[in-house]
Amino acid sequence: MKRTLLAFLAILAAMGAFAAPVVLKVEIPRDTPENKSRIQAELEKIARFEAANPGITCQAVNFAYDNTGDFPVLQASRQAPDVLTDVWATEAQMLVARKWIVPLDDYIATWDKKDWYNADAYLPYTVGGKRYGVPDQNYIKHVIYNKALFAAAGVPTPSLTWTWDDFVKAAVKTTNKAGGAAGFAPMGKGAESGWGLTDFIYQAGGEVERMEGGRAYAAFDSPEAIAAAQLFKDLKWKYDVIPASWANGWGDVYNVFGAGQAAIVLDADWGRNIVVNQFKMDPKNIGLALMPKGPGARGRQAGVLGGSFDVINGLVRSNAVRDAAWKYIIFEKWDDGNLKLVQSQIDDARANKQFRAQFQYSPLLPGSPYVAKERALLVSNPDAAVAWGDPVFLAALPRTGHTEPPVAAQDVYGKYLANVVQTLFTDASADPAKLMKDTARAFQAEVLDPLNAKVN
Amino acid sequence: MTGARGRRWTGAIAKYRTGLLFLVPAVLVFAVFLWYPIVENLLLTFQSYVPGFDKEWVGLANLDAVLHDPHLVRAIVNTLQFVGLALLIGFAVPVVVAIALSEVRRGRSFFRVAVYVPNMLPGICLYILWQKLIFPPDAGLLNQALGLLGIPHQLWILSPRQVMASLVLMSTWANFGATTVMYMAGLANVNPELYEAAEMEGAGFLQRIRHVTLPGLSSMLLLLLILQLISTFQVLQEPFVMTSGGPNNSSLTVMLLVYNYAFVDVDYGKAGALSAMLFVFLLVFSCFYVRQTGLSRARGA
Repeated sequence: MKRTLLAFLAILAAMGAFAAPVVLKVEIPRDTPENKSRIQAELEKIARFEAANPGITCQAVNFAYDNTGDFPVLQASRQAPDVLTDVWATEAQMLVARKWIVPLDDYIATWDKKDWYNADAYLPYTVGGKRYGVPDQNYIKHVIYNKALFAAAGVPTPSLTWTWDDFVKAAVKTTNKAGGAAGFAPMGKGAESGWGLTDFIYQAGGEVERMEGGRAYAAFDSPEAIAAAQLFKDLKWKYDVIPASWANGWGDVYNVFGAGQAAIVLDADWGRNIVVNQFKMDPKNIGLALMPKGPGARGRQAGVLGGSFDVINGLVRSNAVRDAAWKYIIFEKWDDGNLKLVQSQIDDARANKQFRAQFQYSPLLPGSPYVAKERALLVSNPDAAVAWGDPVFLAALPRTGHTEPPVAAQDVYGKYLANVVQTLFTDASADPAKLMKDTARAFQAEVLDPLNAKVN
Repeated sequence: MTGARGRRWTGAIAKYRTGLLFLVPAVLVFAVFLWYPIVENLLLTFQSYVPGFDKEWVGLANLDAVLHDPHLVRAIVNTLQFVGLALLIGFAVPVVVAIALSEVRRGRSFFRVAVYVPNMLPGICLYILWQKLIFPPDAGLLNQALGLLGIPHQLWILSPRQVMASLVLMSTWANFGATTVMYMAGLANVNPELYEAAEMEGAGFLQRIRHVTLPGLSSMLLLLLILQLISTFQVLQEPFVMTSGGPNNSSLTVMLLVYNYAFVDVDYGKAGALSAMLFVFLLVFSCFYVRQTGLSRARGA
């Protein structure tokens, strides 16, 4: 009898009946009044996940990733979530270098939806040939413009193939400095100013970095990149189409646009939230256009392709917890459960008498059933959601996406290209060619060469 | 501890035990939230630290990296520029205003409140006010006022040459009120008989200020000078919020560089190294200053 009982218990133990549950820390939105519905939706998702995965217990952590926020503090105290969602595309290099995220290739290989994505969707989180993140949202920067200001100035709607010349003409015609309106408001302060110049470097046919043999080299000393810098200088000193107070950060630019003080700005996805919800600008008055095409044979229509990714925290050492983290990442991914989260964002917007106004661009292949359902959801809630872009624009947008610099992107944006922008806007005698060459040389020596030295 | 010394300590503790007990909470708070972080930061100078992982000793590598940072010299120069301008403008203005207000016969209470109002503004209001309403080169209040005097519009924080002076101007406006009120309190302690004696001796207004007022305020001036120097060497908020160190690093200060090391580069070793260097400099400077000026022996300091 005793032997039978012991054998039975041994079998149960082997089946994991007595195994301690895996505790998985997962992220839910920060506990603010604007996030009530989203938090509820996430908690319901957690409940469904736990029901589908007995043996895994989720611990909700109020968190939202921010590169200068509390993530390092939470890491230090080991309170950061095990699964991080909505992590910016530019963070991959930094997170991998600090071992704060783990490679996911083995998991992705077994995932039945791995081929649902656009070809470049994984690139921002592919470091050293390994994939460290699952694409969650993408954006491709494009132009948004004030239709009323365009109409008042007699500027035609931008075509799908408009060029720098068309862009400059539109900016010149809509500029009315006496009336307090500038044609184009670029970001002039902080890393975002370098981010903005990068768009024009790509449009001119240039690059910010090139990779050779696993090593990175500064590439923005090319004639094409210099042409982009020249354009910035001309926008300020030759055409005078940018605001006199040009030192606008990310949010400032949309304040200026929302106040009707600029006819054209660039946006990825979230800027128009400020314009629509804080300045109550009618979404129907906001036009969308692809980036203008740069000059010359290498000119192209291009905007930075970025986005956010789901990753597993590198501090997770246990294989069981990592497996659980992967299961959470792919749980309800791109199925109707995901749509519940979008619905919760719409519900929060409605409750706050606002719009869910961010531009929705999916990393999935065009024609994906999920993308169609998501758009239908936005369209069916016109009082609280905006479905941007007509089918023609949305079909053309993917070809304009250009991935961000693969190495030290925030460094090149904030410490090097930002200074280029500010010098061009403050010094009428600045030489764009010398400026770009000197800056590229400095970036290579100070940032890329030390990183390249660590590459085997 | 030898017997006699031990007995003296025990006796002292017994004698002052009530007072010492009252001190325990304050000592604990200071120890945990001030002294321990200072010691940890000094140790971080010699360590490589990635949150979530163990620290590694790296010797002088962080100091070497900081000293070879091409932005360091620029940050030091900008900081010295800010300190110098703050001394020139920010230190003199409260004294002048306090003396002027002490001469006002009517409405002194009103002016005392009026000069203090900017101090009561929340920081974010202050920065928005100056960034959006006062500094803008096209329609800002400053340029409108200069225009009335026939002076051309200036770029202020958009100009690499003017940005530090602009930040000092804003900082002085925001903070001079508190110092002015302190000087006014100090002036009230100057013996009025000294003024009478000076008047009888035929001293004019400026001579009375030079020979009576300023000596009467000397202890307070010396103390507030070192406090201002320590504070301005650590300038961070103004360039961080208003300019992000621009245009083109012309408002990048030492503390902003520390911030960038810690929260942009996520390199806590370099942040610790640079902040430790600043700490040691200020400590040595303060000790030298106090010793040279005799501040510790001054009455009323």
